[in-house]
Amino acid sequence: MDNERTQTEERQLPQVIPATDILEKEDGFHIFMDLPGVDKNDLVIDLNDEEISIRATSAQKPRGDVRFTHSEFCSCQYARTLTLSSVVDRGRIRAVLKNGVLDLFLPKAEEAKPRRIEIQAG
Amino acid sequence: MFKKHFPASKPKDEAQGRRDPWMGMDQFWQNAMSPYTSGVAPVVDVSETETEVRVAAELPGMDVNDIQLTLDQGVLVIKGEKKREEEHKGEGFHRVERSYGSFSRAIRLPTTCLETKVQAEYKNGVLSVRIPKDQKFCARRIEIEG
Repeated sequence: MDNERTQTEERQLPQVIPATDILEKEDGFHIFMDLPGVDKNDLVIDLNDEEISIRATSAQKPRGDVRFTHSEFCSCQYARTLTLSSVVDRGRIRAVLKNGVLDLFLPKAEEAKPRRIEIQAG
Repeated sequence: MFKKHFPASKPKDEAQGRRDPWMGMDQFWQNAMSPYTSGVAPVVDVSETETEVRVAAELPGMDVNDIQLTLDQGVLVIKGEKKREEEHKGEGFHRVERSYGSFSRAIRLPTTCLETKVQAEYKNGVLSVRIPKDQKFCARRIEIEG
């Protein structure tokens, strides 16, 4: 059983869609993505025309003489693509990975922020 | 659980190459009824080497101070509370897929361990606990006299 699993892992890691929260505030979009087991170096964020794609690999388990008695998760590949709103200011996107959670901030461009329109006396 | 009550459904589905409609149901009820978990329990792996037992749990986005770990009579309990990154009330959420709140999960260790020598580490959202086995209870060859 363990041998089978090791072979499968070497061929291709299971794909996981990470759980994501998206919160819209006045200043922009705050995205939180659960990526447990991912190191900063194993995370790739690509920005295309209309999409932002996040790909990551969770750390490999130590090989050797380890026998699993109970297993509910394993090394995997996280992948998720989000469509960007046209109001996002692409130049100021900020990403922080901490304790297995990716915190992405997509700020709204200045002209897209809500603002009050002054009414001039006619 | 459901298969027991509908014994005829399984062979028929397999013969027709269909997906078992009750697949996952057993696991669902097992999780829902389990006395060992509460809240949104983290997923765990338990593994062992010759000298130690290792328990790993996925706990993304926790503060180390919010995780409580206890080991008593061979049962390891992981407890904690996950807080939101940003307090935000009312509207604004487009998607909420992650879970928050308190949780607890109990894991029975597969063998007798030295409970006073536990090492725990929290890195990249994964809690790793290592507990050395009590060599007195490990498998060994018994010499036969005579």
